[in-house]
Amino acid sequence: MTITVVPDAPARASQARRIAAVIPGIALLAVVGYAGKLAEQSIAAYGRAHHVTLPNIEYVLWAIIFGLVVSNTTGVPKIFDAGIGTYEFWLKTGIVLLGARFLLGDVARLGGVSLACVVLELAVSIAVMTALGRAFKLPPKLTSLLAIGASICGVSAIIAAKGAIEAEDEDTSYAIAAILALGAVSLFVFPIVGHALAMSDHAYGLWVGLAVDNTAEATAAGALYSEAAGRFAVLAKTTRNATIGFVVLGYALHWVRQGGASDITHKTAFLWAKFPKFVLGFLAVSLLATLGAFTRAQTADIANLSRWAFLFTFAGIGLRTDIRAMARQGWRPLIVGIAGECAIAVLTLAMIAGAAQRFLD
Amino acid sequence: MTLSRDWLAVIAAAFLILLVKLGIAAGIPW
Repeated sequence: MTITVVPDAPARASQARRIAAVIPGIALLAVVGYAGKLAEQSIAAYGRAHHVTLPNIEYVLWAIIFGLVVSNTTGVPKIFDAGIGTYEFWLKTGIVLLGARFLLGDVARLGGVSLACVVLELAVSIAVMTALGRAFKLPPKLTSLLAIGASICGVSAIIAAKGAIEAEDEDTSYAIAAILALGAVSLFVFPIVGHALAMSDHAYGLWVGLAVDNTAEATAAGALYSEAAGRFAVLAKTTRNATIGFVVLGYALHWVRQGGASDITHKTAFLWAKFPKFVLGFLAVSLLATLGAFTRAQTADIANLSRWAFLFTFAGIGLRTDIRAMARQGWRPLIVGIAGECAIAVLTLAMIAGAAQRFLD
Repeated sequence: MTLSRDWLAVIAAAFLILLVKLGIAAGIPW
């Protein structure tokens, strides 16, 4: 007997509709991102033509600013929403492609330094956020969400934890808004601090990867400093992301003991379900690069593809940041977030300063 | 079964790398 699996007509139609639904938003990401790239190039060209030294503002910042302006003035019509939501897909694709620029030895060495820092960073940020949450009398589950968001990777960690600790929708959107607002601020603050302290690309990238919560913002804040810093930021952040399952599992078990969530029976399956799979893709591409699978020209091509993918991501960061919606969330979670993030940023900076002398450069 | 965005990103990246390896995509500008 032959069994042929043919998707029925409605299923095919809904698939086609889903694909059609993302096209307008992806086109908008491309336009905003490319406008950012054009802005950087035109300003540099103007400076050269008129022999004036203009500050070099990276396309990263232009793309984010253009996105912010669009989303907070005219607003983004609903038709673009689905496509803008794909920014995370472009980010992950860009990170996997970036694997071609890393030899596995460097991944192991830098990843090892990052991992040691990540463990310390996790302990510090969970302690700081929990203490602040208690001091400001935030609901305990909101405090858990903020601690998870601040310690690992912002939005995806919060979403992963939401289901596991059975948090309220309202707490979740609070925590996400706070983490996103802080991410937007860190884009402007971190490069200034990095330049003021004359940090090396290694040290700065590691710092951003450890201290900036959301992967998209960490990638952007790194790329704003220098291309090499951007690569190190991605590596440190990816290491941090890889720990997501363990931290979420820890919190889930804590809430099980408190009687506030149902038990997890298959812990290995839980860890695998929460593990960010694109990290495996990044490692696989890095392994191929280490084995010499790519010529110099091919590596350059793959790196450029990764840049284009990040361009879409940076446009998405601006476009989905709604300043008014954040203002509506209230000030208490934001203060806890700001105070916590400042403490984490300073502590990780101190840690990097210590690590930089021994392991980096 | 629907694929997670993580796996989609890995597949998309693998496809792009294949295009580069086969020489179909070459001299990508930036």
